[in-house]
Amino acid sequence: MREHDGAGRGRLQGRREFLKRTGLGGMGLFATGPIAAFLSACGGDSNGATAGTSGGAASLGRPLRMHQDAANGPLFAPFLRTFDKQYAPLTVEGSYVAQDYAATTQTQLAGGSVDYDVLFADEGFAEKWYDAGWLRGLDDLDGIDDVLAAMKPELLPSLKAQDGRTIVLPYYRAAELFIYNADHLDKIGAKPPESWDEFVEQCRELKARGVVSTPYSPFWTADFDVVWSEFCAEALSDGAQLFDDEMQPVFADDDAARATLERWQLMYREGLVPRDVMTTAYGDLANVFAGGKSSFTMRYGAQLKGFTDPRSSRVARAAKNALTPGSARSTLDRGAFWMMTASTPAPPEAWKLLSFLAARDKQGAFTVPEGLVTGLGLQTPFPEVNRSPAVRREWARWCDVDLLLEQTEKARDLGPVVNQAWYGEYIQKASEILTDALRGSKPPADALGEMADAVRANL
Amino acid sequence: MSAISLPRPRSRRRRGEVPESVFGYGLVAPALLVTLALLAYPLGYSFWVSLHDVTLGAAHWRWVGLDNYRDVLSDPLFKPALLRTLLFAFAVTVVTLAVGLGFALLLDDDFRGRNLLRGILIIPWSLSQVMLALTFGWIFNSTYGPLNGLLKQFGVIDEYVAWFADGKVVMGIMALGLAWNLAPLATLLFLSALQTVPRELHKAALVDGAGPLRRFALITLPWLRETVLIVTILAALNGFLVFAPIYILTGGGPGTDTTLLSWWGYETGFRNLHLGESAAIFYVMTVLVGAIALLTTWALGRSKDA
Repeated sequence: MREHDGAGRGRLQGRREFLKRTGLGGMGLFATGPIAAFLSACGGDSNGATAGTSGGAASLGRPLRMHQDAANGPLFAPFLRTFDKQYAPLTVEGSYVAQDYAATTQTQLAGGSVDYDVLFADEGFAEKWYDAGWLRGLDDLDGIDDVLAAMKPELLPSLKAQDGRTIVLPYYRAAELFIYNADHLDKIGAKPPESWDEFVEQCRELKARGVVSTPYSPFWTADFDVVWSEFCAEALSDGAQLFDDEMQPVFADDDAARATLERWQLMYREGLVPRDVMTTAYGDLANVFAGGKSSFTMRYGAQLKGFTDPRSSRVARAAKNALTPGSARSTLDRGAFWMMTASTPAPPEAWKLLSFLAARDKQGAFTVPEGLVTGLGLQTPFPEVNRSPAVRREWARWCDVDLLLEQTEKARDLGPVVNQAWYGEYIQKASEILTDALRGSKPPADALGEMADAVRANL
Repeated sequence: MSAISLPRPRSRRRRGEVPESVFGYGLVAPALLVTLALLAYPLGYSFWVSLHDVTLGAAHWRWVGLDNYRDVLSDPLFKPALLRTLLFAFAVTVVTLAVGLGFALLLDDDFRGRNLLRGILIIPWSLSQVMLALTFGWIFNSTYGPLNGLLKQFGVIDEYVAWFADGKVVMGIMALGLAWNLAPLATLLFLSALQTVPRELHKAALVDGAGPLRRFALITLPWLRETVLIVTILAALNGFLVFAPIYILTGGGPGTDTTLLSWWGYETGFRNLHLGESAAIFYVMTVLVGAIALLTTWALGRSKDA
């Protein structure tokens, strides 16, 4: 039998009473923990693990630092070794962020305790970081004009800040590609669709004939707000106009944009896409197509390269690219950017690294851009690289090169809007509106109007 | 039949003896001081931030008074996020209390293998919320999740169910996961409290003809009142501050269906860098959590006095 007495109970009460009183204060402190932790992090040390290629002193007294996303950063190791050899005694080391690259990096930059010289960012961050004083302009650097002259001229506006200064160079370019499973289409005796109506009919037939239960696996995932890119790609394929030259949103009144959202609602309603597509992680969503559980998807070349790799895909032989359906057969051309920090103590040295990564090496070869094209399945802003026979041979291993080039030719970028300070936050908002709307919560016209208002609120 | 209670002897204190409550405060004072020192500054600082228009990296802060609070409270996302947060915290609390108490009652009895079972029970508690979210994400995956496989094998479903397609279902799954994670702690707390319930009371009630349910309602439950309070506060707090499952499983979606206040605060601060507004969101949460804790304490105090 357990011991118990009244006195013991009395002592217990005293402690509990105390716990009750102090617990209230403690809870208050606890709830504000996240913001407190966040604020502490602002002045904290780097979260990124560093992986150096080599040490060594150069004129800036330490190795140059390239800051990257851990998903791709380590792939740069051979390039960094090349840099070390070519530019000795200058050396470079990589710094990688495993998760939430942009949020982590901008927190580190704000904290001011990091010493990155060159770093990358997706669309939507450059102007914000430049305005915050974390990036420097590139126009005064020796040889910048040659680098810009070698690029597709239509890209140049998207490299500039609002003050007209060049602040970024392209890391890569990528056209959203229409990807299909040729075996599935063979089963219904069809060819890749040329219009979105034909596409919907094929999806219905594939489902009705039991080839797959969810014929289309679009990247409507919350990860990286890819749903916005998918929307732009499909709308552009039908000739939509999304932003005008003044960056004003014109998609609210655009028939093709509205038709895109209407089609998305229909596809979702009819169960032609996975029902949980919006909460499926990016990798899992890729596996839907790679596992043969869908017949169509849209994504860039790097993804198609993965789909055609038998080590990571069950549909390696069947995964093909085609021109996007739609009246314009266009798509979205998007990318990421390299930039130089304002805090770098030696801009000329950092420029050597930046131009090496974004354009030519010391010998004048496009080592990194070409390496990204052949190794990762990306595209470059340099027509010279895209025309190279070696690059075409590599592309031919995983895609129909002629169609890829035609699609790239027809692809359109969104212009300078992608580097506006508000753009990163905007695409997050737009993604929320799109995912709400495609589930039928609001008419497409209302959703597009809401998205356009969100842009105007920032202009 | 009314609740049976033992007569409580009056506590008598000898002259010169330090009062028990003072002694208690003295014991915890060092830990409390460290905690306050580490949290008081950021707490005050973040409140100061919430009164400014602060964007990370901006050179100047602009004093806006309570504008951030006004903006947060008038944001169309606030009401749905608040409602979801309250519902989520409520669901987590109720399930944690029910499961924790249920297991504690089971484990309170003597049976072979009880110690082993107690050990096994701790496992969910030892999982981080990140692991928990990944595990639940895998179990409920619509393409290869074992739950769908199991249900299909048993003929319960014809097609795999997309559990994460509906925000309400996802919230339910996340609440279930969090409660599963917290239930072992609740069980341990209830178990230790159960072991202080005097057997004499049960015996006396048995003599009076009380059945198991009445004995539970009139003897056991009143005895567990303080433990219920602690578990309620712990579970509600965890429910309010849930983050990792949203971060890993839904990203606040589909749409904004799983955007709770904690996620909204994170997005506003960490992703969009609006620190003032983010701080205001977290301060609104602080007030709410404090109010709920106060309410819980008051309600339990009242029931005790009744």
